[in-house]
Amino acid sequence: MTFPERLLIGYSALATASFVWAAQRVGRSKSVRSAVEGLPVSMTPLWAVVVWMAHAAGGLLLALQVAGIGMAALAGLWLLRFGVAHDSLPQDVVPESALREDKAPLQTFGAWRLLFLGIMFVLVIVWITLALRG
Amino acid sequence: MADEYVFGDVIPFGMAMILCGALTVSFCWGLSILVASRGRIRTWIRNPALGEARLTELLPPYREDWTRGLRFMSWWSRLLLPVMLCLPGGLVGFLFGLDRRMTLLDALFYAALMSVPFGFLLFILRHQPNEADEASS
Repeated sequence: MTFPERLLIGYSALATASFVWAAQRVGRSKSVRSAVEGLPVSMTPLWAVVVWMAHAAGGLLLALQVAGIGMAALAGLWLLRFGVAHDSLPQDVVPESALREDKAPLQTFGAWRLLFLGIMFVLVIVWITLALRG
Repeated sequence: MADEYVFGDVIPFGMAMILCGALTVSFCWGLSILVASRGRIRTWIRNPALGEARLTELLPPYREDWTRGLRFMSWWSRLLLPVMLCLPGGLVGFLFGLDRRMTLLDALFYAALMSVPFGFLLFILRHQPNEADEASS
């Protein structure tokens, strides 16, 4: 078996395992929030094999860059849980936001904080790339 | 390495990896659809969109559709969920398509791939339940 064939079989196996794991976790969950919470862990094998592919395609620097993108994507998947309401189950007849005075939706994360974190991620990745280039 | 034929000269390695990336992207789209469908679907006695209740009318129960789970997510979660899920597959396809000349078949393939979300959107718009009930009332 040649090296590209090993790469292909490894990618297919790990990607399939990742999808089966993710589909099981999502299918088991009772709410949107718990479904979203299972995603970053079960997408980790897929990102690992993508980093391996990048190393095979373009060497160590490309693998490091793809690993940075992967960590940013996994962190983004983890951040998604703050955008999903805790009670993503059947609503009450009178929703809680109707009883409160400010009418703001509960338990969500402000978009400006997400924008700030995204800009910081991009800056760190650009910084690492420039530092590695010398 | 991308031009090397694998598995008994069946397919070049680069093309196989592009196909794998496309499959990954489509599976991740399916996964995000599955996540959105986890919100529980409720059944009501009457469709509240019909307006004022009349006691004399007899209607079939109003059943919500599976896109209700999207309402629990804020707009940036709805925006980022498919993007973050489809990123690895797209990255693999991008990496192995870099040193490869794009043919007409590749362009058609990518166009078909990009039409998947639009097809999903059309499917959602078409798959609204209770439309027949609203028309008959």
